[in-house]
Amino acid sequence: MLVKQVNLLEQEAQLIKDCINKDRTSQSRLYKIFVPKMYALCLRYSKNPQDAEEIVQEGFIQVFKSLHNYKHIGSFEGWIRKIMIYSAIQHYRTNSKMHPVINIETTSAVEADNEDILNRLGKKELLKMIQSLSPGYRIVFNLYVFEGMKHREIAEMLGISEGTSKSNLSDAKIILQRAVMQSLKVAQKRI
Amino acid sequence: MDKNLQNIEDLFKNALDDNEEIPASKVWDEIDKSLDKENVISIKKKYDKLKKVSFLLLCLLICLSVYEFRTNRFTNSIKVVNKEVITKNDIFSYRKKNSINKINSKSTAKNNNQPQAVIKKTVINKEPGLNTAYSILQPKNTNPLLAAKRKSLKLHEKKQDQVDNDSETKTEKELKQLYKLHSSLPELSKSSTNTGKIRKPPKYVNSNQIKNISNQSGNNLDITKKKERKPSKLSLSVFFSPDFAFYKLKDENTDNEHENLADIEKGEDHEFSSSAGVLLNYKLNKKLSLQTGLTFSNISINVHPKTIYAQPDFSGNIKYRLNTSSGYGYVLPSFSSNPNPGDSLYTFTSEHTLRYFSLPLSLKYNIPKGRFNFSALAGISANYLMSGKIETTVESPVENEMEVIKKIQGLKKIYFSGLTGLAVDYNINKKVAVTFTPVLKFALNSINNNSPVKSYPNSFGLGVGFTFGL
Repeated sequence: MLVKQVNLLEQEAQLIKDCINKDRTSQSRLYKIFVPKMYALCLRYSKNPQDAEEIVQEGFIQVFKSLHNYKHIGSFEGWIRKIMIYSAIQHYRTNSKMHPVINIETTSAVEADNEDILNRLGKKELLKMIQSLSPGYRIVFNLYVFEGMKHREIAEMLGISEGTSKSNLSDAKIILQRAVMQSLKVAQKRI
Repeated sequence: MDKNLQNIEDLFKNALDDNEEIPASKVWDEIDKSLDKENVISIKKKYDKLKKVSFLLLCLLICLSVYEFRTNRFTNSIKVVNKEVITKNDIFSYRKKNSINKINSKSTAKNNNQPQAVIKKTVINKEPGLNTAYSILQPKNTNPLLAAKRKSLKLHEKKQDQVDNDSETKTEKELKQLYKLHSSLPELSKSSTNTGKIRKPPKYVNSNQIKNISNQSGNNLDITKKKERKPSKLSLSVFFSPDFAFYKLKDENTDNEHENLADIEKGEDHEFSSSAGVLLNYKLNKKLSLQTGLTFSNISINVHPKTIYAQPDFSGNIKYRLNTSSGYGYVLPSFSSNPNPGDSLYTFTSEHTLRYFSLPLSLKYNIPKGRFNFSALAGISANYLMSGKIETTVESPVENEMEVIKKIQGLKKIYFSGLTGLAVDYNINKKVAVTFTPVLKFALNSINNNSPVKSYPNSFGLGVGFTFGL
């Protein structure tokens, strides 16, 4: 097992080395290995699949440009992931601003098990809900929930205050909950 | 409410954290295009740096050559001046001494109250290149007997002069005239205490020195005519050229089932190539010259990582075949020593290197303009293969293995290429010139046969070097 892991690391190192040498076949191979996860990540950060494609394209170009800076510390996938997130944030910095805090009416909660919701709604619908959020809420939600970042770190990265980050997250959650509940109601009606 | 919101976080995280989606194929196409653009920019930058460095080195070399030339000229002029100074000084010191001796002899004569003859004689040594002159000084008061003897001696000397006229050079005659004093022999009795001291003047070693002196003193002596050397028709050039190589490929239609022309063409990149050599130029006339010589060239091509397949070689053994634009070779790594036909192996980046020595023959049309000489050249070159090898690393489950194919199959021993280009020579002096020669070399026939593809190597070189007149 250990030998296999060592071999995988060596192969990864060789692949990275060939990509640094601008070998197109290796670059293509690297792209094919990591693009499924990275594209899915970009879908969460974007409004629609077209935007996600743009972000993943910019992200991979940046990956190939910056590959010589990778110091083999930590996971290579994690390193690529960070670049994708930066590309997503950069993409929306040029197009939209972070929205201020908006008062949202609280709604009545519908208790339901997550698994049950997932069974009824599916991944694609949940993804669409995230995509329907405004850019500011979407990015904060992704960074907090999926990347596990703290509000202080999010605020530093996005150039907003910690309070704004907390409010954006809270609003995002409320909106998503409303969206989930509405979808559940629609699903229940169908049944 | 909070619990629901917390549930929302977990819901989305569990559903979408490990989600995977495949984007449209155009995404990679766009990335590919962007990377190509980046490559072009980086190659331009890379060669820009090389060009700048080459230019700086060339300037430094020119400055050093000019400095060397000027310092040599200066030291040579000092030597000539020194020689002249020595000889002049000798003459002046000799003349001074003579005048002092005259005064001394006068004073002794007065003291001794004895008439003393002033005897001056020039004796010319007949050995070639050697002229000595000396004189014996005596006071002016002479006896009639002595006067008569002087006359007879004069006549004798005149005869001597007539005899020597044919063999003497013009310079020697004029020198005699310059340094001839009263030619008369003293009657020196044995009892006489006045033995004139003979002072030998400085020796003039060769007539060229005399010429120098006489020219300096204002006499128009032209001893030897300068034999003007005819300019040599031969010159030797030494050069180094970084080459930008590119291949033209044609399908060979062999039984290679795994790779075609497009695969090979796309899967290779030319690395830095170069050539260097010695060329001999022979001037036919003012405008035309022939050039030939010996050059060595090194071509490196990078092969992208790819999968290779096992198939029978010439002797029927099953080995993994690696195809390149130059030819092909077989590898049999230790971990897979008995493959079956069709078995595959992954190779990382490979490199194949070709070395040739060439015999070029070109005709140059020269246009001299001041210190510059512009020429257009066209010719043909016979290129002999010195070595061709492929180095690759094959992927293995345990440890990747490096393989070297020492002889590329399918390469021809000789191929011919055409040459065309320009040359710019800057003459530092009559013997040395700096040369800049951009040349296009194009293959007239392919370098291989029975290979996956037929290759016609072309290259554009920027030759820099020196030309020395012989």
